[in-house]
Amino acid sequence: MEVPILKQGHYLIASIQSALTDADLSQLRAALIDKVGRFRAKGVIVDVTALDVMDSFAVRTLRDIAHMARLRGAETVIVGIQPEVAFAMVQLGLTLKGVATALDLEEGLAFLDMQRQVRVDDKRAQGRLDHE
Amino acid sequence: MLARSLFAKYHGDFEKLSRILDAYEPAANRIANTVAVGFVQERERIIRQQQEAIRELSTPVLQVRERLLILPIIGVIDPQRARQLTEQLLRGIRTNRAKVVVIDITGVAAMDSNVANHLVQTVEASRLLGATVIVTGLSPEIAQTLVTIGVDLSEMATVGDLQGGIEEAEHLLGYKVVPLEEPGTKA
Repeated sequence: MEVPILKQGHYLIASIQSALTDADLSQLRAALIDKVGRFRAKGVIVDVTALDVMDSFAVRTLRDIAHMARLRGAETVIVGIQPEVAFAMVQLGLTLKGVATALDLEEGLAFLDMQRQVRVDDKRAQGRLDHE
Repeated sequence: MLARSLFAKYHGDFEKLSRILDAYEPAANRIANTVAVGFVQERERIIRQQQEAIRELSTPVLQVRERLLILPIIGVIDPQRARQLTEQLLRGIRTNRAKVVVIDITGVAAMDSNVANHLVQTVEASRLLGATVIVTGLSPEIAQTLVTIGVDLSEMATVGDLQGGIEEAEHLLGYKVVPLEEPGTKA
Protein backbone atom coordinates (compact mmCIF):
# COMPACT_ATOMS: atom_id res chain seq x y z
CA MET A 1 0.00 0.00 0.00
CA GLU A 2 1.53 3.28 -1.08
CA VAL A 3 1.84 5.98 1.54
CA PRO A 4 0.59 9.38 0.35
CA ILE A 5 3.26 12.07 0.42
CA LEU A 6 2.05 15.64 0.44
CA LYS A 7 4.06 18.75 -0.23
CA GLN A 8 3.49 21.72 2.07
CA GLY A 9 5.73 24.64 1.21
CA HIS A 10 9.30 23.45 1.68
CA TYR A 11 8.22 20.35 3.57
CA LEU A 12 7.10 16.87 2.66
CA ILE A 13 4.52 15.14 4.81
CA ALA A 14 4.14 11.36 4.66
CA SER A 15 1.02 10.23 6.47
CA ILE A 16 0.94 6.53 7.24
CA GLN A 17 -2.66 5.31 7.26
CA SER A 18 -2.33 1.67 8.29
CA ALA A 19 0.13 -1.08 9.06
CA LEU A 20 2.87 -1.36 6.47
CA THR A 21 4.68 -4.40 5.16
CA ASP A 22 8.45 -4.39 4.86
CA ALA A 23 8.05 -3.80 1.12
CA ASP A 24 5.75 -0.82 1.76
CA LEU A 25 8.33 0.67 4.14
CA SER A 26 11.14 0.29 1.62
CA GLN A 27 8.94 1.85 -1.04
CA LEU A 28 8.19 4.79 1.27
CA ARG A 29 11.87 5.32 1.94
CA ALA A 30 12.69 5.34 -1.77
CA ALA A 31 9.78 7.66 -2.58
CA LEU A 32 10.74 10.16 0.13
CA ILE A 33 14.39 10.32 -0.86
CA ASP A 34 13.42 10.82 -4.46
CA LYS A 35 10.96 13.59 -3.65
CA VAL A 36 13.35 15.37 -1.29
CA GLY A 37 15.71 15.78 -4.20
CA ARG A 38 13.08 16.63 -6.80
CA PHE A 39 11.31 19.29 -4.72
CA ARG A 40 14.43 20.47 -2.90
CA ALA A 41 12.55 19.97 0.34
CA LYS A 42 13.96 21.41 3.56
CA GLY A 43 12.03 19.13 5.88
CA VAL A 44 10.29 15.77 6.06
CA ILE A 45 7.54 14.75 8.45
CA VAL A 46 6.58 11.11 8.82
CA ASP A 47 3.30 10.74 10.69
CA VAL A 48 2.98 7.36 12.40
CA THR A 49 -0.12 8.17 14.47
CA ALA A 50 -2.03 5.30 12.86
CA LEU A 51 0.54 2.65 13.74
CA ASP A 52 -0.25 0.41 16.72
CA VAL A 53 3.07 -1.38 16.50
CA MET A 54 6.51 -0.62 15.19
CA ASP A 55 8.97 -3.44 14.70
CA SER A 56 12.72 -3.19 14.29
CA PHE A 57 12.50 -2.93 10.50
CA ALA A 58 10.10 -0.01 10.72
CA VAL A 59 12.33 1.79 13.22
CA ARG A 60 15.41 1.13 11.11
CA THR A 61 13.63 2.43 8.01
CA LEU A 62 12.65 5.63 9.79
CA ARG A 63 16.26 6.10 10.89
CA ASP A 64 17.42 5.50 7.30
CA ILE A 65 14.94 8.06 6.00
CA ALA A 66 16.20 10.65 8.49
CA HIS A 67 19.85 10.06 7.66
CA MET A 68 19.32 10.00 3.91
CA ALA A 69 17.16 13.12 4.00
CA ARG A 70 19.80 14.96 6.00
CA LEU A 71 22.40 14.03 3.39
CA ARG A 72 20.17 15.72 0.86
CA GLY A 73 19.63 18.84 2.93
CA ALA A 74 16.39 18.08 4.76
CA GLU A 75 15.60 17.61 8.45
CA THR A 76 13.24 14.79 9.38
CA VAL A 77 10.75 14.65 12.25
CA ILE A 78 8.82 11.54 13.24
CA VAL A 79 5.47 12.50 14.74
CA GLY A 80 2.55 10.73 16.36
CA ILE A 81 4.28 7.84 18.11
CA GLN A 82 1.60 6.39 20.38
CA PRO A 83 2.34 5.94 24.12
CA GLU A 84 2.01 2.14 23.92
CA VAL A 85 4.29 2.03 20.89
CA ALA A 86 6.89 4.27 22.59
CA PHE A 87 6.81 2.05 25.66
CA ALA A 88 7.28 -1.12 23.63
CA MET A 89 10.08 0.47 21.62
CA VAL A 90 12.18 1.43 24.61
CA GLN A 91 11.62 -1.95 26.24
CA LEU A 92 12.87 -3.69 23.11
CA GLY A 93 15.77 -1.30 22.81
CA LEU A 94 14.55 0.08 19.46
CA THR A 95 15.74 3.62 19.67
CA LEU A 96 15.35 6.51 17.29
CA LYS A 97 18.49 8.11 18.65
CA GLY A 98 19.61 10.98 16.51
CA VAL A 99 16.19 11.35 14.92
CA ALA A 100 13.94 14.22 15.93
CA THR A 101 10.50 13.35 17.24
CA ALA A 102 7.45 15.41 18.07
CA LEU A 103 4.00 14.81 19.50
CA ASP A 104 1.95 15.54 16.38
CA LEU A 105 1.90 17.23 13.00
CA GLU A 106 1.54 20.71 14.47
CA GLU A 107 4.53 20.25 16.74
CA GLY A 108 6.51 18.69 13.92
CA LEU A 109 5.95 21.67 11.66
CA ALA A 110 6.86 24.08 14.49
CA PHE A 111 10.06 22.13 15.04
CA LEU A 112 11.03 22.26 11.36
CA ASP A 113 10.32 25.99 11.20
CA MET A 114 12.51 26.54 14.25
CA GLN A 115 15.28 24.39 12.77
CA ARG A 116 15.23 26.34 9.54
CA GLN A 117 15.40 29.62 11.43
CA VAL A 118 18.39 28.34 13.40
CA ARG A 119 20.19 27.39 10.21
CA VAL A 120 19.44 30.75 8.60
CA ASP A 121 20.67 32.58 11.70
CA ASP A 122 23.83 30.50 11.71
CA LYS A 123 24.57 31.29 8.11
CA ARG A 124 23.86 34.94 8.68
CA ALA A 125 26.21 34.97 11.63
CA GLN A 126 28.88 33.46 9.45
CA GLY A 127 28.30 36.21 6.93
CA ARG A 128 27.24 34.00 4.10
CA LEU A 129 23.59 33.62 3.20
CA ASP A 130 22.79 31.91 -0.11
CA HIS A 131 19.47 32.55 -1.75
CA GLU A 132 17.02 29.98 -0.38
CA MET B 1 -25.68 -27.79 67.64
CA LEU B 2 -26.86 -29.92 64.76
CA ALA B 3 -24.88 -32.85 66.18
CA ARG B 4 -26.48 -32.36 69.60
CA SER B 5 -30.04 -32.34 68.20
CA LEU B 6 -29.25 -35.40 66.09
CA PHE B 7 -28.08 -37.17 69.26
CA ALA B 8 -31.24 -36.18 71.09
CA LYS B 9 -33.45 -37.48 68.32
CA TYR B 10 -31.69 -40.71 67.47
CA HIS B 11 -29.97 -41.71 70.70
CA GLY B 12 -32.06 -44.84 70.79
CA ASP B 13 -30.96 -46.10 67.42
CA PHE B 14 -27.15 -46.17 67.34
CA GLU B 15 -27.01 -47.67 63.83
CA LYS B 16 -29.12 -44.88 62.36
CA LEU B 17 -27.24 -42.20 64.25
CA SER B 18 -23.97 -43.57 62.95
CA ARG B 19 -25.22 -43.50 59.35
CA ILE B 20 -26.55 -39.96 59.70
CA LEU B 21 -23.29 -38.73 61.16
CA ASP B 22 -21.37 -40.39 58.32
CA ALA B 23 -23.44 -38.46 55.84
CA TYR B 24 -23.30 -35.25 57.82
CA GLU B 25 -19.56 -35.09 58.41
CA PRO B 26 -18.30 -34.57 54.82
CA ALA B 27 -21.07 -32.10 54.15
CA ALA B 28 -20.18 -30.13 57.25
CA ASN B 29 -16.51 -30.12 56.29
CA ARG B 30 -17.33 -28.87 52.82
CA ILE B 31 -19.46 -26.09 54.21
CA ALA B 32 -16.74 -24.97 56.60
CA ASN B 33 -14.19 -25.11 53.82
CA THR B 34 -16.30 -23.10 51.41
CA VAL B 35 -16.94 -20.43 53.99
CA ALA B 36 -13.26 -20.18 54.88
CA VAL B 37 -12.07 -20.04 51.29
CA GLY B 38 -14.74 -17.53 50.34
CA PHE B 39 -13.80 -15.34 53.24
CA VAL B 40 -10.09 -15.37 52.41
CA GLN B 41 -10.69 -14.75 48.72
CA GLU B 42 -12.89 -11.78 49.46
CA ARG B 43 -10.30 -10.29 51.80
CA GLU B 44 -7.58 -10.80 49.22
CA ARG B 45 -9.69 -9.13 46.59
CA ILE B 46 -10.20 -6.11 48.82
CA ILE B 47 -6.49 -5.93 49.60
CA ARG B 48 -5.64 -6.07 45.90
CA GLN B 49 -8.13 -3.33 45.16
CA GLN B 50 -6.69 -1.14 47.88
CA GLN B 51 -3.16 -1.76 46.72
CA GLU B 52 -4.17 -0.70 43.23
CA ALA B 53 -5.80 2.45 44.57
CA ILE B 54 -2.72 3.30 46.62
CA ARG B 55 -0.50 2.82 43.62
CA GLU B 56 -2.56 5.13 41.48
CA LEU B 57 -2.72 7.75 44.20
CA SER B 58 1.00 7.81 44.59
CA THR B 59 1.90 8.57 40.98
CA PRO B 60 -0.13 11.60 39.98
CA VAL B 61 0.84 13.43 36.82
CA LEU B 62 0.29 17.13 37.39
CA GLN B 63 0.17 19.98 34.93
CA VAL B 64 1.61 23.12 36.48
CA ARG B 65 1.79 25.22 33.34
CA GLU B 66 0.83 24.92 29.72
CA ARG B 67 2.93 22.11 28.23
CA LEU B 68 4.71 21.46 31.58
CA LEU B 69 4.05 18.34 33.66
CA ILE B 70 5.38 17.37 37.05
CA LEU B 71 5.58 13.79 38.28
CA PRO B 72 6.45 13.68 42.00
CA ILE B 73 7.44 10.20 43.06
CA ILE B 74 7.30 9.22 46.68
CA GLY B 75 8.15 5.94 48.37
CA VAL B 76 9.31 2.63 47.08
CA ILE B 77 9.29 1.92 43.39
CA ASP B 78 8.87 -1.70 42.47
CA PRO B 79 8.91 -2.89 38.85
CA GLN B 80 5.13 -2.90 38.67
CA ARG B 81 4.82 0.62 39.99
CA ALA B 82 7.59 1.77 37.69
CA ARG B 83 5.72 0.40 34.73
CA GLN B 84 2.47 2.00 35.77
CA LEU B 85 4.29 5.26 36.30
CA THR B 86 5.62 5.23 32.76
CA GLU B 87 2.26 4.40 31.24
CA GLN B 88 0.55 7.17 33.19
CA LEU B 89 3.23 9.66 32.24
CA LEU B 90 3.14 8.86 28.53
CA ARG B 91 -0.63 9.14 28.47
CA GLY B 92 -0.36 12.42 30.35
CA ILE B 93 2.15 13.77 27.84
CA ARG B 94 -0.21 13.02 25.00
CA THR B 95 -3.31 14.34 26.74
CA ASN B 96 -1.71 17.59 27.91
CA ARG B 97 0.56 17.96 24.85
CA ALA B 98 3.43 18.44 27.26
CA LYS B 99 6.80 19.56 25.97
CA VAL B 100 8.66 19.31 29.28
CA VAL B 101 8.27 16.88 32.16
CA VAL B 102 9.93 17.23 35.55
CA ILE B 103 10.24 13.91 37.38
CA ASP B 104 11.00 14.56 41.02
CA ILE B 105 12.47 11.69 43.03
CA THR B 106 13.20 13.56 46.25
CA GLY B 107 10.84 11.18 47.98
CA VAL B 108 12.54 8.04 46.74
CA ALA B 109 15.00 6.64 49.24
CA ALA B 110 16.78 4.06 47.18
CA MET B 111 16.89 2.73 43.67
CA ASP B 112 18.19 -0.52 42.29
CA SER B 113 19.51 -1.12 38.79
CA ASN B 114 16.17 -2.33 37.45
CA VAL B 115 14.38 0.80 38.50
CA ALA B 116 17.25 3.01 37.37
CA ASN B 117 17.10 1.46 33.92
CA HIS B 118 13.37 1.88 33.91
CA LEU B 119 13.83 5.56 34.62
CA VAL B 120 16.16 5.85 31.64
CA GLN B 121 13.60 4.05 29.48
CA THR B 122 10.90 6.43 30.66
CA VAL B 123 13.03 9.39 29.62
CA GLU B 124 13.61 7.90 26.18
CA ALA B 125 9.96 6.98 25.68
CA SER B 126 8.96 10.53 26.61
CA ARG B 127 11.36 11.88 24.03
CA LEU B 128 9.64 9.74 21.39
CA LEU B 129 6.49 11.66 22.22
CA GLY B 130 8.33 14.93 21.78
CA ALA B 131 8.80 15.77 25.45
CA THR B 132 12.01 16.63 27.31
CA VAL B 133 12.47 15.12 30.76
CA ILE B 134 14.28 16.76 33.66
CA VAL B 135 14.94 14.55 36.69
CA THR B 136 15.23 16.35 40.00
CA GLY B 137 15.84 15.49 43.62
CA LEU B 138 18.42 12.76 43.26
CA SER B 139 19.79 11.97 46.69
CA PRO B 140 23.55 11.44 47.05
CA GLU B 141 22.87 7.73 47.53
CA ILE B 142 20.87 7.44 44.34
CA ALA B 143 23.41 9.51 42.44
CA GLN B 144 26.08 7.11 43.59
CA THR B 145 23.95 4.10 42.67
CA LEU B 146 23.35 5.41 39.17
CA VAL B 147 27.01 6.08 38.55
CA THR B 148 28.09 2.75 40.01
CA ILE B 149 25.58 0.79 37.96
CA GLY B 150 26.80 2.54 34.86
CA VAL B 151 23.46 3.80 33.71
CA ASP B 152 23.65 5.93 30.57
CA LEU B 153 23.00 9.40 31.93
CA SER B 154 23.95 11.32 28.82
CA GLU B 155 20.34 11.44 27.70
CA MET B 156 18.97 12.46 31.06
CA ALA B 157 18.95 16.09 32.18
CA THR B 158 19.15 16.41 35.93
CA VAL B 159 18.85 19.34 38.31
CA GLY B 160 19.47 19.28 42.04
CA ASP B 161 16.07 20.17 43.37
CA LEU B 162 12.49 20.56 42.23
CA GLN B 163 12.63 24.35 42.26
CA GLY B 164 15.66 24.34 39.98
CA GLY B 165 14.00 21.81 37.75
CA ILE B 166 10.87 23.90 37.34
CA GLU B 167 12.94 26.99 36.61
CA GLU B 168 14.88 25.08 33.97
CA ALA B 169 11.65 23.76 32.48
CA GLU B 170 10.09 27.23 32.33
CA HIS B 171 13.22 28.50 30.63
CA LEU B 172 12.98 25.72 28.03
CA LEU B 173 9.37 26.64 27.39
CA GLY B 174 10.23 30.31 26.97
CA TYR B 175 8.75 31.58 30.20
CA LYS B 176 10.32 34.25 32.32
CA VAL B 177 9.04 34.79 35.84
CA VAL B 178 9.14 38.38 37.03
CA PRO B 179 7.91 39.75 40.34
CA LEU B 180 4.84 41.98 40.35
CA GLU B 181 5.36 45.54 41.51
CA GLU B 182 5.04 46.09 45.24
CA PRO B 183 1.70 47.77 46.04
CA GLY B 184 2.24 51.38 47.12
CA THR B 185 5.41 51.94 45.09
CA LYS B 186 3.57 53.59 42.21
CA ALA B 187 4.01 57.36 42.09
